[in-house]
Amino acid sequence: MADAKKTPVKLLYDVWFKDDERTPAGTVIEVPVSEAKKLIDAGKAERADPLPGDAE
Amino acid sequence: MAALANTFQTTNAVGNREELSDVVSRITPEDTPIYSLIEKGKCVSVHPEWETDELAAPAANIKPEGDEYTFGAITPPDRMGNYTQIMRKEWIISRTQETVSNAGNAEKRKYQKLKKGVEIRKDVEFAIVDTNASVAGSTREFGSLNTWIETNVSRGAGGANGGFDSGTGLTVAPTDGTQRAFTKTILDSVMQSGYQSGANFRHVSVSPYVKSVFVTFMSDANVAPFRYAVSKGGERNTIVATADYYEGPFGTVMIHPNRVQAVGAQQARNAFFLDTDMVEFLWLDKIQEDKKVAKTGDADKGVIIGEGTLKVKNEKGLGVAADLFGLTAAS
Repeated sequence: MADAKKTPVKLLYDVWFKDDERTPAGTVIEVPVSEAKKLIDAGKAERADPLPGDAE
Repeated sequence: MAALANTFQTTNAVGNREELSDVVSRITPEDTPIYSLIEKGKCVSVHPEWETDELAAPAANIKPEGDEYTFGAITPPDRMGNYTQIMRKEWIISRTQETVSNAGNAEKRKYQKLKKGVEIRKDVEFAIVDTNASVAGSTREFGSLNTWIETNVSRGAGGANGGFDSGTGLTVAPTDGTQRAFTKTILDSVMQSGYQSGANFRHVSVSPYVKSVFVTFMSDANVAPFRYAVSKGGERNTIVATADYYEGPFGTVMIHPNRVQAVGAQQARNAFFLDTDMVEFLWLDKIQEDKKVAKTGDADKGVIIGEGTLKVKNEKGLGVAADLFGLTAAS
């Protein structure tokens, strides 16, 4: 099975992706799209994907 | 053998006196561990604010001889605040009910006033241990302890911090993670984080179930086992299966079972680590009876009302082990 598609988000608050393992606010991290949606909906992260026209 | 015919029994009597005790047994416990432990102060506005500051992290400080001075920017303290919350309990009793003879007088004004007073104090404790972000406006809410703490934190997978947002001036609720069992590792990790941040944790407030898990830490391989002498003759010995203090690598804390944290899963899932110098409850209007309630009709009305807020002087002095199974081994 193919891996879930990932997208980068910038964390606005510290997030625990694993039990007792903190990822600090400000980190830009690639997460599955469903996870990204949850974080953004909860106000804990913002999109960090490139804008159209951004150089690679 | 059955009673003989025409034996007059209590079930036939119409004039036997009824017996109703004058003692009303109220079981509801009245303790409010966190509210009782912390300082109580006054505020004069609906939005008291305060500042927090901290030292820069230690770093190498080596300068050359004859060097010109350079001046670093001063970082201003962080300014934060909480909103006061109005809490209230009411009752109304008819004049006739107030006058009639009543067993225990539990359904009378004096008793109701006392009972509502205890209830509102427990509501204050509930508001402290609940997960509730602060709200401004006319229906103000104070940010609960859990919405302030962001440094000394342990969360389950999927959890995210809340904390004070200097942009909005409000606290943000944390996101729940997957629940897990309370362990000595979690306890030690929050205490270590607190120690490094400068906190002096003295108390930990947990749900009664979490306290029962805490006492099992005595079976941990790294904990000195208890040794009790058996009494002479082997009489009246006690099975000792409790502990109230934890002396870990980063200090000693007393573990308080908090019955208010057993009210629901949302309150039970957090263990609060407290340095009682770092948190205070400010009253704008202390809980008291409103004696100016207008009398209308043939009844006596009563209102107990208070308005106050939680002052978290510095969240680094507090800690939380979140997402614990707080009611049972699986909830």
